[in-house]
Amino acid sequence: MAKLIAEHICHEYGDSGILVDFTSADYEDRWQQAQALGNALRSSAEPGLVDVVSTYQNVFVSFNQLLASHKSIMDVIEKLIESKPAPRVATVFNIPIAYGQEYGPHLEFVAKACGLTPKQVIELHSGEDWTIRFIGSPVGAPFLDGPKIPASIPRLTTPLARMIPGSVALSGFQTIIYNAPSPGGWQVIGRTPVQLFDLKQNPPVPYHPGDRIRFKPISQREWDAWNKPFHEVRL
Amino acid sequence: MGCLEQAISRGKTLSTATIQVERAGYVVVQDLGRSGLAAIGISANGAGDQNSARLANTLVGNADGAALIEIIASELMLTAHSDLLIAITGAAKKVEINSISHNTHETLVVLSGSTVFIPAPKSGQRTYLAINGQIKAPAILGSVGPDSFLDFGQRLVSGMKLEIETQFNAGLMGSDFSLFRFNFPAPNYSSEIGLLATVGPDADRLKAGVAGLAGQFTVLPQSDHVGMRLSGVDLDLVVAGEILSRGVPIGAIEITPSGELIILLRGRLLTAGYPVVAVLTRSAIDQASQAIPGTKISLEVVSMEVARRELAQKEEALGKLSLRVAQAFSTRGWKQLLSPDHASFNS
Repeated sequence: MAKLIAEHICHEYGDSGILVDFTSADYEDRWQQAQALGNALRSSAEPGLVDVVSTYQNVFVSFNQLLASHKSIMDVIEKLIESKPAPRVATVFNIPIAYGQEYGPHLEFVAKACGLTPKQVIELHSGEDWTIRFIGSPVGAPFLDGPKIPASIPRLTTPLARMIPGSVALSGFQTIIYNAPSPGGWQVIGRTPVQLFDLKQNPPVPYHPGDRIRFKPISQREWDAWNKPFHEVRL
Repeated sequence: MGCLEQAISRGKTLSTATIQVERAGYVVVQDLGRSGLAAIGISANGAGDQNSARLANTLVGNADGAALIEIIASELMLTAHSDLLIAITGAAKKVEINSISHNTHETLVVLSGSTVFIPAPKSGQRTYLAINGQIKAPAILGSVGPDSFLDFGQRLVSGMKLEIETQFNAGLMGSDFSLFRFNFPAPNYSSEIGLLATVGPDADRLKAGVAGLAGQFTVLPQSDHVGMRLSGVDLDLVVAGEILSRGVPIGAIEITPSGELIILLRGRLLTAGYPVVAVLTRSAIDQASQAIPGTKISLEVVSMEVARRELAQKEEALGKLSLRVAQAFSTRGWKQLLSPDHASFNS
């Protein structure tokens, strides 16, 4: 539960931005405070507010300088910063994933970095729920914290120019899912056949920060059966 | 209510104008992009030089955010199959209509059958062509602009036809074929530019603080609409812990672990974990988007007050111009050519 008075620092972040840095000792608290402030700002309808990016322990607010200022937005932040996170029941999403081989070309590397076998990495990665900390780019990518990875995974020395959509990749202790053919620097250990980002749906991704993802290993033969938009998938 | 519905409800003569693309380099249908969609992980994108795009639309009576054409480091030749009211801004210095050279940054009349040629710029790289009315183009998440991550965008290729819903036709001109002369100063792009920035939250990662950004950097060829890579100065870094990914502004000046500088542009990913030592001002972001590889850049860190003043001046100039355009249109009896969202209605 977030503390009522959240310790934080506000930085000016360019001529039309503010970065809020939550500084309390507990990681879980910092994340909850950042998400609560992000939600409160998004629903505040404050004039001049352009966008809000809330992440692990930060909130980046951008504003239109003709309608707002650093001062006016900081005042709003101070007012909203004690908002309690809206109670929300987390949804658990089961996401099929084919690990290794052509689906996860960096599985061997990750296993080596962890001092594990590829099979152990798969068991670890699919053995517990991952929590969606925030949704970022590219295109609705969920940024996930989850099972304790034994070693911080370094990024690719040369980022890939084009990730195959559905790629599930690791960096540090985190996982993300690349929903789109963007460049990317994380180590790809598997791929999901399910299309999570779907413009025909509103919102186009089914998950929210705080929801959980459980990866369900599938074999290559099962790939086609799962290759469809998320809303058509029943797991 | 959009321009289209407004026009129909007023019973004005809205018609579909057509242009045919004869030759096109790297040319796309563009607008100001998608903002406010961070919650679903969508980057802003949109015209690299937002001020020039808004200016072009303002000159033809459109809303700032109307769809227009962005020509990137290349040329465009088209044939008008209808009468058009156009304006060209940004990098191009001249436009040829039936081989007669005209100034950019003015409102121009193009008669049906004319050929319009916008040559590749010698300096700067983004040119904007606005056409009075509404360019017909599909949109995703509120914008017609390209997003490479969404695999979306409309590139103009030779032979292609583009339709524009417009109320303009040469009949409106009567016998008055005199040209507009707004004389709005066209920007100058050069191979050496200075960009203003304000201090970022991680300036202390540079041993010398932002003073460490003094000197000249060169724009590397690997630069694109996502980010501009710079080389040139060895930066002395303080050894410090990892930064957890967080939202990064367009214009953020980041230092990579190898000591390289990257300036994030409009196609940037929403989050990153590199130190942000400074952030370009809004006007400087427009300028940066015009810089071609090889351009020498010097960064000047200024106070927030200076940044605000710079922006206020730009906005005031655009506002004043919009009023003059509205006045000129009204004098000619062209009020119906002004979009209800033309900048003059907010100025």
